[in-house]
Amino acid sequence: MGCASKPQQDQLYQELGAEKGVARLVDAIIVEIKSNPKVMVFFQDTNFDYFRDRLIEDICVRSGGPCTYQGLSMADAHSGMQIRESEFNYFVEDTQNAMQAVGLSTATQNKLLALLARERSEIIRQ
Amino acid sequence: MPQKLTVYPIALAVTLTFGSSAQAGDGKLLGTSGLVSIEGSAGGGLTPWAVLGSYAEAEQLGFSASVSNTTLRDYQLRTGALAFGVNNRVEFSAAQQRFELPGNAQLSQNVFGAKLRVSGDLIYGRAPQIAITLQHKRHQDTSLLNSLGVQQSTGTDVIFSASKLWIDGAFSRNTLANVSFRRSAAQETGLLGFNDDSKWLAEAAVAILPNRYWAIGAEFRQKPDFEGLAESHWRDVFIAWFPKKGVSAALAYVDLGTIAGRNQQTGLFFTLQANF
Repeated sequence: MGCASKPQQDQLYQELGAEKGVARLVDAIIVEIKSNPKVMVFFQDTNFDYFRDRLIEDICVRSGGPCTYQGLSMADAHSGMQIRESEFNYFVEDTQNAMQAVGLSTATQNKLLALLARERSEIIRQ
Repeated sequence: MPQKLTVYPIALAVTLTFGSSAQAGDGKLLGTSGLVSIEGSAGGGLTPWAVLGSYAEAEQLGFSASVSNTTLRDYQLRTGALAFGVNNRVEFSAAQQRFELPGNAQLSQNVFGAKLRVSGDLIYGRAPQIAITLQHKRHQDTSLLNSLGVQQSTGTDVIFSASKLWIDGAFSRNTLANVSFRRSAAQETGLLGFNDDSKWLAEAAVAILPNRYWAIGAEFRQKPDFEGLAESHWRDVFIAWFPKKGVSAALAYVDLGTIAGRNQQTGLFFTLQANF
């Protein structure tokens, strides 16, 4: 049993809408990616079904949900792509637009963004 | 006789022309260009921060143009500024300030700025973004200054700034803080000329973003205590609007205290900015 005064470990996962909510969010992110040429350029050879499952797992794990990430490390997944700082930010903006589209509150959006921002050093310039 | 203004009309025209156009350097996140301060360097309204103007990230160039108007009880300060950002590493700025005094007199000062981001990133990583800014200030016409008994009409400020924006900050909102230390001989930021002496001055700002498009905050700017010239510390509270990267605007309530013997200089600051 968790201590009542502490936020639950999966609080953000629940705020995101748990399994269904995270899947909806990832679908919305993919819609944004596909309509953004500046980001889509990195997804020309991407199997979006595979990407969708891995991103769902990644967000699930990072938000405290009951998942296991089965993909490559962030550094390996982006190896050779030479993603620039600006291009990382374009993806962040797609994510922001997607979070807005699925109706997440600003607080929930910022909690997730802060987690994703930590991955930046393993994503850019790889 | 009114002095010639060159930067102001250019800045106004460019702001209005490019305020809605497409962007070159657009790689930074919305709002992270900051505003253009009264001295032309990116930051808040009254204080420069470690942020760099324009939305240029690494391998990008960006420009910004802005105008501002500060209306006080007895004075008015109008500024026009142009800035150029390179690689989210360097910012060059030129600002023209027109300071209108009671009795139809006015002073006009140009500020040429250069800012270098030394280390860190505003958003990413734990370390704050640290920048060094030089502001070279030069009056256009020294006759009024000289008649006021001020001999020096040029000076250079050096400012060391650290800025950090926490994405999941206070109330889970983007929360920004900036602290700066300035070495300066400027009297009333140079609008009333320059002293023989230099002082270390502290400046600070905080802001919170209710959402992506709005920021509210407050600034404090320590002012020097040169002999014979009582300066008040400057304060303001502001609300800034970033509807998109191309354009931003801010409104502030400013309290500049006593300026040249006239007290209670409170009023409104407004700025409009275009980035492209």
